[in-house]
Amino acid sequence: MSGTPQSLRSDDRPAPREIRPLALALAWIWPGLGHLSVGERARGVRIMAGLLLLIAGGLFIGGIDSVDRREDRLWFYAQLGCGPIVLGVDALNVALLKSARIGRLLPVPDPSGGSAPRLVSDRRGLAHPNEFGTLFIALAGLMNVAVMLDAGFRRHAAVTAAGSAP
Amino acid sequence: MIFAAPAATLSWTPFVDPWPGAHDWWWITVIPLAVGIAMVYKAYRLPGLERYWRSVATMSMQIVLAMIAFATALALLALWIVPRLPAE
Repeated sequence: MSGTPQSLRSDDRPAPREIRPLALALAWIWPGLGHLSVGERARGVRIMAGLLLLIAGGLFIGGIDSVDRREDRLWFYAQLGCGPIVLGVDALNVALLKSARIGRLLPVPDPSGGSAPRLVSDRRGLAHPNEFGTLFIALAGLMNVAVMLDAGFRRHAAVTAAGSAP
Repeated sequence: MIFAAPAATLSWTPFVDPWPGAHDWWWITVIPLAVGIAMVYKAYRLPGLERYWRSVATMSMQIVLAMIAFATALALLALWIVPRLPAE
């Protein structure tokens, strides 16, 4: 299919797949921006609403400790799919909670068996709040990876007419 | 109470501190989780968006019902089937 000359295409065939690196990058920078940048306004707005719902939901349930680059590294990699929002939340977590500008630091035993106790914020999430907050934002990150690929590789000409709902 | 004990709520800063009610009401969070996933998935997956909200509602319900079914199956396995297995 990829070798078919343009002149032999009939109108009902799908448009050629074209890579849009800018849309892909914009989709990472802010959820939904990739689709907005290629004219898929209705999709972009819905994607933005859905991803911001997941991110805000995660922060509401787990607080800013839901994003923790140091202690939840693997989860953070999944969350990173949401883009700079996650980096900002992690920076806030360090600036507010881990540096005790909000709350206090309490000594707890080192889980790795070290003799020196670790200091953790008394405002951090524990158990269900932390688990669900982390999960919400990690799922948002993974969904945004799929959204980025869609924005970057979508057959825009074939679907724009149908996809641009009012 | 869904927003937990008054003493805990007084010092709670939303979006900074964890939601105090999550310890007791964690299961209810599956609903916004399912809705958020369905909103994103259907936004980029549907060829047209005329039936978008209907599709989102359907998929959200499918996710919630599937999780209830899995939870029921696991509870049956753990609480009813495993205790009836013969001991060594």
